[in-house]
Amino acid sequence: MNSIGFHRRVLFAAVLLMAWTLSCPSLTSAQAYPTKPITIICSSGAGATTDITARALASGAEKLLGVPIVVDNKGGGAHTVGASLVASKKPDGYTLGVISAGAITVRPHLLSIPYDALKDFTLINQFSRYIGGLCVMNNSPLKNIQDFIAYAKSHPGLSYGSSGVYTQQHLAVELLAMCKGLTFKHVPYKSGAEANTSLIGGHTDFSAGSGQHIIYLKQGVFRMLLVYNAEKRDPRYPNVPTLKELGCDDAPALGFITVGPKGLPDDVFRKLRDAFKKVAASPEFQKTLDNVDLPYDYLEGAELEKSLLTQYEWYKVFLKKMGVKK
Amino acid sequence: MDFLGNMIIGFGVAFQPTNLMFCFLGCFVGTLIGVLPGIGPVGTMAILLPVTYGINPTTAIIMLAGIYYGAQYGGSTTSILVNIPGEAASVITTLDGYQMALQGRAGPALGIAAFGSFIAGTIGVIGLMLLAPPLVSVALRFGPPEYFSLMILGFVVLTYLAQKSMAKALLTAGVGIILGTIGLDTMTGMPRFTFNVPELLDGIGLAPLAMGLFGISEILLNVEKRIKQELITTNVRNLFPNLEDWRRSIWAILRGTGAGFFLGILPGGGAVLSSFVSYALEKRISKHPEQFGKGAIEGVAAPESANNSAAQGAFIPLLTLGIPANVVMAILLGALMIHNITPGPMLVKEHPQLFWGVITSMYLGNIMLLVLNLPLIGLWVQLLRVPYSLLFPLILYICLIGAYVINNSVIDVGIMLLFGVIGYLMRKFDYEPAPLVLAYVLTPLLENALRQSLILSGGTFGIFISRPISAGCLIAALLLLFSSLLPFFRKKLAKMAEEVEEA
Repeated sequence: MNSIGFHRRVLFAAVLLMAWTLSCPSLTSAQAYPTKPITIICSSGAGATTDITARALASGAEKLLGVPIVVDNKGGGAHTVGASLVASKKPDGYTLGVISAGAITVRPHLLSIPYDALKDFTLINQFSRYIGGLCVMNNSPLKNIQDFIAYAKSHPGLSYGSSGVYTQQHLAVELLAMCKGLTFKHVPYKSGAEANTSLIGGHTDFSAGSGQHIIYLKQGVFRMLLVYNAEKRDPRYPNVPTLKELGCDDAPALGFITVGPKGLPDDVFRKLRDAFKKVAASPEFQKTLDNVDLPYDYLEGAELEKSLLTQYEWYKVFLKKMGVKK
Repeated sequence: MDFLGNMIIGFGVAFQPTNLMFCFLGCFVGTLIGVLPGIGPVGTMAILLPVTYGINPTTAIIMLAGIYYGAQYGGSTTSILVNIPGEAASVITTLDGYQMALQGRAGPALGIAAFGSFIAGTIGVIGLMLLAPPLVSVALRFGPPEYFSLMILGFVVLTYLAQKSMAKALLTAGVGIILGTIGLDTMTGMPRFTFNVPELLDGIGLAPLAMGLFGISEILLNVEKRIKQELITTNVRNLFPNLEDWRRSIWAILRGTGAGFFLGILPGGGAVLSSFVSYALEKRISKHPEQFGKGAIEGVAAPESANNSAAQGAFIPLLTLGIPANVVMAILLGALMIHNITPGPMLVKEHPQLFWGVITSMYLGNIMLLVLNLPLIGLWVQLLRVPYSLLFPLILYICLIGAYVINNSVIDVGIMLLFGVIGYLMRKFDYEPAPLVLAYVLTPLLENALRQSLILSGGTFGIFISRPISAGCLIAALLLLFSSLLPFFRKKLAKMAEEVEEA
């Protein structure tokens, strides 16, 4: 009994101490932000591209902001689970998100989501984006996109794999088909890697790459004939034309963005934006991007807002045209 | 191919003190979480992934791999001693392992599981070394139609698992199929049965489902029983199976190794499926199938061997193609990507140290595990001697944490608890949870493969019989189905006769 009583008292003291510690930041809120650890909600599972970049961003910003930054993986629902969590948090700067812009600009047209995509976030910055590429096997007789279009005209119904239906790369290939009067069979896979493997295994005729294909380009397994989801050519592959150069419409690229809940205080917002901007431009972060074959593409403020709004409207119109009903 | 040279490179890496230490650490943690029910290798590896950011990639993979195959060893211990599978791949081991323990033969059961695991692990590693390159081309030939037919074969095998009633097994498999369709439809991107819960968009997690059906329900069942803990801890000293045991097990071990290795290579196969398949195989070809479920040592030897060789086999698609065959491999893929290493056809050439180092470390790891699991089995058993009044809340606690950490999701915890109650009721009414879980795992693969195949063929079902591997699987499924009919009715008749006699 005695010992239980003792333990209870210790426990009580511990709870009091904890309560006091927790209440501290509110007592000292006059102090400059940040005064306690920051959580970054990452909208993908551990090890995914979004996660790798989020962690690199966090470890860089930790040094600049002087507090620990924890990356919390909340994957699922095509990035909407993580995004809805961020939207539901207090705008105190201690819970932020690194998400795919698709959660804001594409998914609202496809799914019922528990947040208002255009209103529930404070957009901080964008540091990279996906670039897609149409790939065939390296030993294919099709040497360039003109060969490909001619072949596809005479062979209607070529099959291709993508990382899923209504993804930016699926839509880009369908835009190519509409623009050049071609017909393809779209075989959706669960990931870009599976779509690539089906091309290697000879089960599909080409692959609508979403970033994963760069690995196979480097290894000389694939040949890229076309770059899409891109305004200009990929500097790493200067000989490959873009979808826009062919005179076709293109599905806008989705970026990797940092966000907070709506209503982030101005001073907090500025501090975070400047810190992330500095990290994104640092050689360490650039190396991380290079490792996962992502381009550096920085946007902030009005420019970022405009880019996302344009994307949002584009996907809204085009998905309706594709016959999507939510 | 310079086999010896590669071995030398590999052992040179594996014998580095740091790597040895991390290999041991991985094996130790693997055995521990294998023994502890509720928390499996996936959850553990996910928790430890951030730890590996700071260490050398080869060392990181050696440790993470150790957790995976170590868990295959440890998983059998609780299956045998307390009828709670420590790990999903050891679910089937409970059928005969626990019966052996009840008969006072826990020692030989644990022994054959460890020896079987060692033999399978060793053969698996050698197989991995020799077969990785040629197997790439075979695995690549598996397109959607081949997957579809293979899954059909899987479903037929599923019906073989029926212990009590085939009708009940089919019913629970049906429920598993429905559960498997929850989430985003890959083909149209539309949510199905998600009721606007964003967490359900990716479907119900396998881990919470399995933890609920196998872990929580087991605790609930045990809580209402009178505690009879002494039954399981007696006689665990005599670990060496006798000659008769060996005679009955050795072929089961070798067949389990073969089946497990092959199924491990196939994406979506892995340790769980292979343990079920090899058990069904042994039961089917056994001269005395009636002994299965009543303490047949083959029923322990085969699946425990199969899940180990499957664990090695699963590395083949990852290290040669960059395709994760299962969730564990997906985590390893992530660990490699963090270190700027892209698994794929070029991995062996670009990173021979990593490729051969990891493989040879598995050989050393298997030896460590044999030591950890045989002479030290007492230590793990001690872990189980903890009174149930402490053990059950502890298991529950670990299950709760385990379910939570996978996605940091409270909904997963809720799902686990819900299926805990469902599993409890199912067992009360003699419905087995295993067909449900297996059907649940196979359904998304089957559905995708079917729809992908039909897109490719333009809607013609001929694609499934015009391709040789696919046709072969379908023919095998048909043959199995017909061959099962006869013994199935015979068994039914025998059972009815038995019931008549009892009455």
